[in-house]
Amino acid sequence: MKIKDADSIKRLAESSRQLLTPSVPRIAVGMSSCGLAAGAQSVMEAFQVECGRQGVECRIVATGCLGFCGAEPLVEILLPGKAAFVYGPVEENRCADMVAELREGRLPRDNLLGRREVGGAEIEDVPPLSDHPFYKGQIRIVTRNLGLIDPGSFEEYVACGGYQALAKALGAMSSEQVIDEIKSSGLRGRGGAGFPTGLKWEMTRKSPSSPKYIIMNGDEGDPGAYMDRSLMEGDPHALVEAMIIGGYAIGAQTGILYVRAEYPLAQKRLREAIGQAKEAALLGRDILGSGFDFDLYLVSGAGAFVSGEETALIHSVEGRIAEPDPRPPYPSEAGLYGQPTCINNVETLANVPVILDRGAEWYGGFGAEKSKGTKLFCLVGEVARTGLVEVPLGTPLAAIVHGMGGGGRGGAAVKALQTGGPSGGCIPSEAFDLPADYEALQKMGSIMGSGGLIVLSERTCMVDTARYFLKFTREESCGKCTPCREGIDYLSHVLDDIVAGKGAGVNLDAIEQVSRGIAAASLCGLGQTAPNPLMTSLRHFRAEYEAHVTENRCPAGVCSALLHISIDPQACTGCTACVAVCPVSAISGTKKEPHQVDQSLCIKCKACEDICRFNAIRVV
Amino acid sequence: MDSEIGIKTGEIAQRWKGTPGMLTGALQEIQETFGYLPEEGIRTLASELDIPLSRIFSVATFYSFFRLTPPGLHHIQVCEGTACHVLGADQLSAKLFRDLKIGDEGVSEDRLFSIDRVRCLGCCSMAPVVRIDDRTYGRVRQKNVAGILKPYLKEGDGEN
Ligand SMILES: Cc1cc2nc3c(=O)[nH]c(=O)nc-3n(C[C@H](O)[C@H](O)[C@H](O)COP(=O)(O)O)c2cc1C
Ligand code: FES
Repeated sequence: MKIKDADSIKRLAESSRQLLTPSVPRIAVGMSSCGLAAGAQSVMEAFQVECGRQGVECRIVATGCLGFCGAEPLVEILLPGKAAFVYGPVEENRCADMVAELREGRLPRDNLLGRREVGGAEIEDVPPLSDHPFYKGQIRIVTRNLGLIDPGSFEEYVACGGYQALAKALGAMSSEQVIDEIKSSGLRGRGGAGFPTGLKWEMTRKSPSSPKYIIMNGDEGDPGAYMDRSLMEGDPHALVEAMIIGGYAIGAQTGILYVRAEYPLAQKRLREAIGQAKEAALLGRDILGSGFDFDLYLVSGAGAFVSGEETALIHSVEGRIAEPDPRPPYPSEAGLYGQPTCINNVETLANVPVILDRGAEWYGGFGAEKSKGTKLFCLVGEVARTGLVEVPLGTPLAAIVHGMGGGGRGGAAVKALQTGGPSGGCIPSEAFDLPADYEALQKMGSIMGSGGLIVLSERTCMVDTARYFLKFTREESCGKCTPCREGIDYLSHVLDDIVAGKGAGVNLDAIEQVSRGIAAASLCGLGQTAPNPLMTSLRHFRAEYEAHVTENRCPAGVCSALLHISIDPQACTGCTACVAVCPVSAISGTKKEPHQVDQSLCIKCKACEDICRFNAIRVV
Repeated sequence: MDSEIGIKTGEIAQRWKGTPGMLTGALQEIQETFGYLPEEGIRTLASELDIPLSRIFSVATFYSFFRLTPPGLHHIQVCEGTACHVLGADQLSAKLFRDLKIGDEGVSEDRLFSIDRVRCLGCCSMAPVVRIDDRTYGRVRQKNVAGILKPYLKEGDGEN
């Protein structure tokens, strides 16, 4: 169906509303990559089978991620006239009972996390989802549609107010007015650097030459972060809409969605969304009768961290190897094919339609003085509740880690937080009253980065973590400039030596000096920031480094060359489970009696620790 | 050029010709079709898209996603991203290599399995993560490995 004007969008929104609040129960299963990894596919199928078998009429849909990945598979059941109820984790074998309860008119209660209001009469004794500790303090602006709509359905997006911002921009605003609105909202780039988005748009618009291009950066190279994946998989039309608006603002007629190859589902959903938008005539010629033409292409990344850097990304789109160029010239002057190009991060763009819809002033009401709006963070690692959280910028780290995250996994003491991935640094738990905003994190020697928050506990070794990041940047350095190529290689090998127990002669001060040199002399952001993880952990956790270097000891029990694995005779029941899994037959003993580890054979794979039900394996 | 590889890559090339990102797009589709980038496919692509062969090879070797040798019947991606690393990806990955008797070349002798170490599959909240073909497994402990591999072993037994 072709959509010709703003009115037809409104009409479609009206007529599609029943998809979201049908007259029968609506069962929505979170089927983003994280949900699928937790088994959501079988849960969905079980609901389909059971509803058929028990004769319960339902609308069953696949949605994006509701955020609380730690409780996946997540399911939301919307009961007409009542509310929507969110459950998690929902095991496949519970579905039959849940459908039976619905059939008998009872509300399933197991693993009920809370209720979301949809305008029906209230169900008193179920607390709102926003009171659940994971959700308390979160605001859903960027993630407004995640987990609520079927990302494969154009109509459901429109029913939630989708494409009305586009209609407003094309119908009632000049390009300059759109730019002014984004400028006064205070929106800053979410890809790491925090550059004001409106200003970037204006610079690209004012560049004299044309054609111009707009590119969405969906490379999300930071390992341990998946904000952008969730948005691309869960609300693809919001990004298509934002790109059309951005194209209109800067004067581009071609847009590119650059998405990394490791995200096949995100690529699929975006391709579908482009196809649907084309069919609706929201892409192509004379969009909504405004005279504005715009086309959108999806370009796949191919597994190189540096291709997320904007100049390298441009080379990648041009079909070259992803080597960065020195800036200036900035892409806004000379980017793709030498033409003015605006590159925005996925999350940055996801803010655009709401800002136009609700106004810059409304948006500016969230967040901190210099960091407006909200930010998505991925709370992962050694944390009790993992997931995707959206909080106003400036929220204290403690509220995120201890409040939403519930502290360390299995009660472990939280030691630090790694922000900003391989370009960022660690923040010790003593400093968790720090607000999460661009300036505060930078002051700590870390960066906001794209939003990965990796919780490190007493079971995480800081030396090993620094070594991990340096190995990463060593392998991902494109090799073009010497300080990055040679300097990181050197540091990485020094750390390899330390964790291998060969660090006796290492001078920690000298490492710091080399780090500063690399940061000062590298060509692009990759090299300039690569020493950050090492420098920050040396600053805050020097004692751990010293334990490795001078005592050959890994206090966290991680660095295998320094470990000693033994069995606690008091705790061991002689169940022989460890004997069966030990790949090198290093464990022996009589059944029902304490066992022993032969140190000369042990390869420290920790398979025994993994299988032991009596907590009898000691790693020191 | 009239072999299966030649014909299919020719079609893929025509679909991508002239669009932004055509080289990586076409290479990705060729890899999806054949599981890797066969030399003949690369040669066909070079002439169809009018791009020097040397440039295609430099692109195909620069990006870690592309492979120039055939994978096993089942391709395993084990995540070594930060969240997975912190939760023991090293040991998990070592176990997979050990149990499937796979060495540095990445493919088992019977060609049933191949393994790639990758950086982040975007399911960090479910760490440690392993993907086999197009199915992703979360919260994988060493003790779950045998159970996860089982369905793939059976199918392979039948086919080999
Ligand atoms: C090594 C390196 C990797 C980067 N990776 C990404 C990435 O994966 N995603 C992203 O949006 N920005 C990444 N950036 C930042 C981009 O260069 C660019 O600043 C950003 O996409 C601009 O969008 P924004 O203004 O909306 O944040 C990276 C930068 C560097 C130096
Ligand atoms: S770190 Fe393994 S999936 Fe992200």
